[in-house]
Amino acid sequence: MTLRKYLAKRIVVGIITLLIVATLNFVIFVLQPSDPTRYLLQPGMKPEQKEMIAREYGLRDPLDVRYFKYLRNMFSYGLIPPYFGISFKSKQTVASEMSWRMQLTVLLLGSAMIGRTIVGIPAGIFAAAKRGGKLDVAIMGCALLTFGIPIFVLQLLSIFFFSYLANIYGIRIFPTGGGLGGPYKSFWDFLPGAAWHLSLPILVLTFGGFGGWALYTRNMLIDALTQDYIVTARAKGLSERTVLYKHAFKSILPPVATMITLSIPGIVTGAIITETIFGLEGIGKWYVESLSRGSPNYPVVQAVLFIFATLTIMFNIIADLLYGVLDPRIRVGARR
Amino acid sequence: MAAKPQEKRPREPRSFRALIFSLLIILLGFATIGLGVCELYVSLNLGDLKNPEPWAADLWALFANSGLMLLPHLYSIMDFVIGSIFILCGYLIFRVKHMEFAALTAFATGLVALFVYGIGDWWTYVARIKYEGLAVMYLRVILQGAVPIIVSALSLTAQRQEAKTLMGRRIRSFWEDFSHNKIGLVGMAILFTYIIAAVLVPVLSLGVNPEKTDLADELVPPSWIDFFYPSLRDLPRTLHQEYNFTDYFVTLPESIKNDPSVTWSWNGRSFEFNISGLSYNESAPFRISLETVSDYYPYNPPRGGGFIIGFTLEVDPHQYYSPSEKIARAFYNVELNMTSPVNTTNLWDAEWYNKRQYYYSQSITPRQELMPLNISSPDKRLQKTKINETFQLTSDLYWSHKMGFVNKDGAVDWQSLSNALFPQKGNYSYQMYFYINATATYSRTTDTTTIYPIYYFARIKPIFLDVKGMLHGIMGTDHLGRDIWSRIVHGIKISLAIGLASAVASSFIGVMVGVVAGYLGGTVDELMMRLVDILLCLPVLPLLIVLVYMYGQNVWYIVILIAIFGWQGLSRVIRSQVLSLREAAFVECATASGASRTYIMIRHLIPNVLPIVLSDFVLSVPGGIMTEAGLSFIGFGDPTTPTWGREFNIMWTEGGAFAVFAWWWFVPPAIAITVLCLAFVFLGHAVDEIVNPRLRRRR
Repeated sequence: MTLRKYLAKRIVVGIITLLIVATLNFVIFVLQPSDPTRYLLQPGMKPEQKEMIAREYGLRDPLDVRYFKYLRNMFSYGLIPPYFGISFKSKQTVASEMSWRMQLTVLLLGSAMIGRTIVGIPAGIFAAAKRGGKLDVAIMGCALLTFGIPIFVLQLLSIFFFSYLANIYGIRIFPTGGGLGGPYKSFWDFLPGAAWHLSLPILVLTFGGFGGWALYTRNMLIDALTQDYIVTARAKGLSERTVLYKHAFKSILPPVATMITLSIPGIVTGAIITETIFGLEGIGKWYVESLSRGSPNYPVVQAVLFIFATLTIMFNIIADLLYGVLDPRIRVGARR
Repeated sequence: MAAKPQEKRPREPRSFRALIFSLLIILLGFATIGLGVCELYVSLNLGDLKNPEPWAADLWALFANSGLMLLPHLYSIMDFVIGSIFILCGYLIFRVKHMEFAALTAFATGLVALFVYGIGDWWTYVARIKYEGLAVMYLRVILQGAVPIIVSALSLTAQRQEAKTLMGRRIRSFWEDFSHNKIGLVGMAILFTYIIAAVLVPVLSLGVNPEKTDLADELVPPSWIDFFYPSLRDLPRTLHQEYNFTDYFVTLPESIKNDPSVTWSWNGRSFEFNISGLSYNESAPFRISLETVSDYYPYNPPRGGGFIIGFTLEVDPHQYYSPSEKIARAFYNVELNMTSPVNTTNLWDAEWYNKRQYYYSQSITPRQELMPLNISSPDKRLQKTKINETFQLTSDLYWSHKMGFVNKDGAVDWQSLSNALFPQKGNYSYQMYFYINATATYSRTTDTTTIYPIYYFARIKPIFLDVKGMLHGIMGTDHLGRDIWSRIVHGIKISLAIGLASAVASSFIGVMVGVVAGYLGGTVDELMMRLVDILLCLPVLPLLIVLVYMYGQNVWYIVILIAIFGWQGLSRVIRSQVLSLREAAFVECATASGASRTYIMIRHLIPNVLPIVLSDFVLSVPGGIMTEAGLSFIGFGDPTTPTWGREFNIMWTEGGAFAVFAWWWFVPPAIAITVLCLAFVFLGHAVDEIVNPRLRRRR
């Protein structure tokens, strides 16, 4: 199977998965035993008014029409009308609300990803280079902590000690949460405030999660360092540094890149908890708030879930693709 | 299930050991059914709701109204089912038929029973029925869980000599590797500690109901904190002190001083006073003075509103009129004094009742409804012929008015009230005066006064002092005054249950799908692997949230969802393993000798992939625990179960634990969940290193 064919297959499966998620979304919210309009309508409304609103939201159409309208709405990603529908709460289009929330989420998760990469991969390399040393043991401990402690507990601990406790003693390094609401005029408008409010979550996401990456890198690298070609390289008299970076690390780059890409979906969906804890108005917190008891703001839930699904599938496919691109053996093997 | 052997094997001789084991299992079955019969008898006849907690009564009503009338008898039904299974298995072993299957079934049933009663019976706490004590629960654990497991395991090993040696060698070599792995041993030790704690939950929680509120003040630290902060040493602790009567003195009117129909007795705990058929018509009352012991109160005054002084009266004035026997009415009154090291305070007297009515008519809501002490009160609602009441003198508004601790705004000055009542550490005692007034019955029609005999009985129990501590227990209290230690301890059970149940379910699905897809291949394989692809690409957490939100916040539902989204990785690994095993010689041999595909899958393929399953199983337990905790934390967990995740949710959303730096609320569940997850991670890594050939080579 050529790489291209394999990729095509993955994309087809991905689209099917997206369809399934979208349909599930539709089924959950629209085909419920109860009428979704009950979240929308006030008790005192006249029947004509109710009817009008129901028509406005397209709730009186036949089901198949609604389904296809819904699919078109979802797969257009809010770029064309009706822009993911209208939020029940704010009466604005979901896409317009999502855009400014997305900025924050992307900034948060992007910084955390970069932080983890910057800290985790070199830590893994150093640990592998000095196997059994102090750094090695420390990274092992960090990795176990990553696997053993729920991330929300770590985040709560950090907010507890660095924000609340520090505030008690008059040290205001980090905010205790919130204070970063509202749509922003521009990206540069919200960056200064965001930098302060996002600092602690980014730090926690970085240091709470880099251990696993470092451990993975270390294990792969130790595996690679026992290979014959490394022995050859050393026998040639190359410096240890060259051996480590040019030979060993280069060979483990594909699996490491795959690991990073594959962990992105988990981090993205983890934003739900992170943003809830730190009171950040990103799409994760928005998602949870839209599911408030009694009146789900389901256009928002549908849109955000669809975005989550898209990201998950996309990064899964990208991970596969990256492996092929970075590893010439697979590329060549596939062409053969 | 298993394919039939090619030719009928000669029947094995019945071994003595197998006989013993079979009889034992049958016996256990009958004992279990006997327990079920007892339980059914008790629950049908005595009624389960003799003295239920309110929430238990609600739950009961829910069951009864929803047509699930069987559910209250769930325990009996489970006893019957489990007992029948044991008897059947014992019979099969006895008749040397399907012995292995029977022993395995008994083993599995025992495991299920152990799980349900030993670890998983958290939910029974909610609907716990009063009549059934802890002893019955432990009896179940032993009778249906532990003993059957041991017996059936022994029987299994006795049966399969050749299998025993093979499995024994495998297990021994595994244990040899494992016992050299320090991390694995540490994990195992922690896990065992948790399991023992889970079984001993009722003991460890000191019998405190995790949902009971107002045990102490809100958000108070644990009581051992005074070790580090000596300044807190004098803060009041949660206290229940009883003041027994030491001295009593009965004053009777002169005319009946030596009447034998008036008797009294003191049995060390309660004072009883009895009048049987006394003819008496004078205004002088009978007076009983009771003096309590003087007990040391070692703390500062409790916070206002944080104490209850109470006494229990049981009064039967025989206030009924039968045609044959006319009986006079008798009224009683109580006066209560408290002697502190400084002064004596009158806490309660007969006059207060009427004044209290005045305050109530001002639409002041009392904190605690006090029963009137005069049974002939004009309020019809309060007329009672018999009384068995505990009178609680809390610092309610009326009382505070009476005591004169009301500030200018008309609100109670709690602090000075309790300061006045508990001025300092020292010896406190109580004096109680009990009066009985007997009046003649006056007939309005004939305008005559007739003297009828008096029948009267009164029992007075010790006076008690309850103080809601400002330091409480092992782990302090939460924002509703609930005991945190008890809540954390109850979380052990439910967390273990969630983790293990979801891991078992997901491993089961993973093995089945992996083996079937790998061995059968073709379309089945293609379909299953595409399903795996799809499931692997789903955003799990948001989907879980939406599904839980829509279809019910129930722990077992969440467990099932976690299992559904958790098996794909395992099934892929197993499939690839099976793909290579399929070509192995022993599979070919089995196929050649006519074994069916099901037989090969069950007897050859699954045992060979079990080591991989084991490591994946252990590593997926913390995943399940964390997922559930995360869901609970953001408010999509089961709102009726005290899980650790929900604990975080409560303290985060409503508890305000962070603002007051309530570390005693926050740190224990964090440590508990982290250590439990770490134990499984340690174990999983150890097992992984042993069973995973790639890692093993590197080591």
